[in-house]
Amino acid sequence: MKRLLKWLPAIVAPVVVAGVVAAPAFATTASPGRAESVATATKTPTPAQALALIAKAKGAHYSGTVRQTSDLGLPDLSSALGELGASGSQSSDILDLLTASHTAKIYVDGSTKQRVQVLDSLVERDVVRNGRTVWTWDSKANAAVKVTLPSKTARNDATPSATPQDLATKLVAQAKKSSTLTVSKGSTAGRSVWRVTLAPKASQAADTLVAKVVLSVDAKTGVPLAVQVDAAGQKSPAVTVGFSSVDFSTPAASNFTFTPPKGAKVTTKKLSASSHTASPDNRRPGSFEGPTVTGTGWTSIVAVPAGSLGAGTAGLTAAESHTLNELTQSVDGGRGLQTSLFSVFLTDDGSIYAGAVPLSTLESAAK
Amino acid sequence: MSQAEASTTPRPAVVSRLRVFALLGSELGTLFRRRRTIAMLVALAAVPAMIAIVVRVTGAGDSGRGPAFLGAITQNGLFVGFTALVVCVPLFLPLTLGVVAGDTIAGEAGLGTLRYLLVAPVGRVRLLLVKYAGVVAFSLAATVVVVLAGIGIGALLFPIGPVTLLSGDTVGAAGFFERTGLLACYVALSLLGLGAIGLFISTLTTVPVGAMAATVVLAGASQIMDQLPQLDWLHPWLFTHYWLGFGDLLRDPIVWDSYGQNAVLQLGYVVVFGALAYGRFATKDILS
Repeated sequence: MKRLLKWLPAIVAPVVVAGVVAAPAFATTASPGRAESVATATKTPTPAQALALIAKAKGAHYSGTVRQTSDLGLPDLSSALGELGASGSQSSDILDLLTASHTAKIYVDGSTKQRVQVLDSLVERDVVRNGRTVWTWDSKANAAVKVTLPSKTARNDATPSATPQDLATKLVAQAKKSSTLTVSKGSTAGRSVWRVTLAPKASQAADTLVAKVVLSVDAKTGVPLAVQVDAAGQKSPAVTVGFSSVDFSTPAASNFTFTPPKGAKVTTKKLSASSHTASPDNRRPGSFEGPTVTGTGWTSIVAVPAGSLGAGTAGLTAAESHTLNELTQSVDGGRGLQTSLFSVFLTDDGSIYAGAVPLSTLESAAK
Repeated sequence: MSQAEASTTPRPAVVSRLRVFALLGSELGTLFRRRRTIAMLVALAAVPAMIAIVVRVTGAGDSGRGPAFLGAITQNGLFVGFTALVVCVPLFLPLTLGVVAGDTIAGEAGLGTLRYLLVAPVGRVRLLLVKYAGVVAFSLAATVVVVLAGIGIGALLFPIGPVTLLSGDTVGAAGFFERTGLLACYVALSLLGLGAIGLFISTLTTVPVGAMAATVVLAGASQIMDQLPQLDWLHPWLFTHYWLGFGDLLRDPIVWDSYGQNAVLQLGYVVVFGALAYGRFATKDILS
């Protein structure tokens, strides 16, 4: 009996530890109840009203931790990408986003000061915007890029006439042609949110790989807190991007200053007002010359004619083309990439077809 | 059993406290005077020295390959300490800690001195705590040796200057030493769970080499499991999961998430395996 007593801590300890670990989990499952009591005070908004909330959040300031996960049925290539990433190539960045999970810190102070800090093990990528200056930083490549935005973007000139409400109504009207929209209550990062769910209409549901898109909008501030895309016939979400914690106080000003360190490679770019509106993620290669869209709604297919994306697959390094071959499968007339959410078809003559449809649909569209 | 009970009989608190400190002092003295411990610390210090000398001799610039921070060494010698930690954390630190933790109880039992220690009289709980304190002291000493040796040899062979963080910001001497201190604490903290596992395994056997090997093998196995995407759900529970998370201390502002998660995880391992070690050690018949 005495012996058993001495084993008691060993029996109790795992239970206590499990309890301590599970407690926050219980707290988060309990919080929807609390969140609901806040949400029930206000009436459930229409989809248009919920989306109009986002436009209201334009000048909001907040910071938080964002977690992104992808489950596209692709192999995890992080080991192969480690080698690719050394060359700092853009294709590896995109592949990295598609196959691996990431955590980022986001700081937002109004519409002119933003910072995204992508935290990977022992490396970091940053995008810092302060007014018209945008810095991107890659610690692995030890390289910084400074982009100066045009003083007035074309978009800013065009929008003042439309109120956020108008814009949201238009957006919803457009979406309703191919989708069903619903709004429900939920909770993300401890905040009560409106979940706007877009699902393909029955007429399109069989042809597209997307099952539904869920956008979580903070009920109080209108800040979008999470996006989740579900693929048809897959239990776990294909892509999720969402705050795991969020703080609505003004972030410190020091977060929005960036000075490239000594010894770093610094490139300077200037965007003219006529060029495409600069998005912080200005990493896409080449210019998209004349892509055509066929189909409607969820079954749209984007076709990029040969030669418009620069060198195409011919300009890839050996390591890159090896990764490409590993990812894609050989199909009649080219190579195809089939994920649970979208497909890409690279024809032998260099054209690219992409869409949220099965690969076979792209093949027939290419003919 | 009678000895264990004898130690729990009430006696003046001051005397017992003094005895604990005396026991702790003698344990630490024995541990760090041991030729094996000194050899292990020297071997750990040799890792940054080797890295620095190789980079200096070959003059290899930033090729983008190799462990993190390697490319930065030629510009700033202070990075040798960080590079050495990245190299040591997966293998050398757990290896040396496994030797110390696996030896705690099994070593005494193997030498036949465990009996005499308990006759002293020293309570079994107290002995277990003092032994674990020795493991903690070693993990801190090992980490500090790697970092300081790295900084020293780096300063000797390369130019030094303000340190560029992962976020691209630079910090001066004060910021650098503050972050290095935090980093050393993080790595030492990361090893606490493994130390508790080693202590438990050490109570299971009288063959110290077996306990050491088992501890080191577990550290390796946990890291392999952490690499398998199929075991995604298990990763946050592995004691090695946050081992390389110390990079978060080199960002600006410092990201504390992994520090907290790591501390909670290691504490969980210490509690569970500490309790297991107590259960085993308190009920064990000490024959040697």
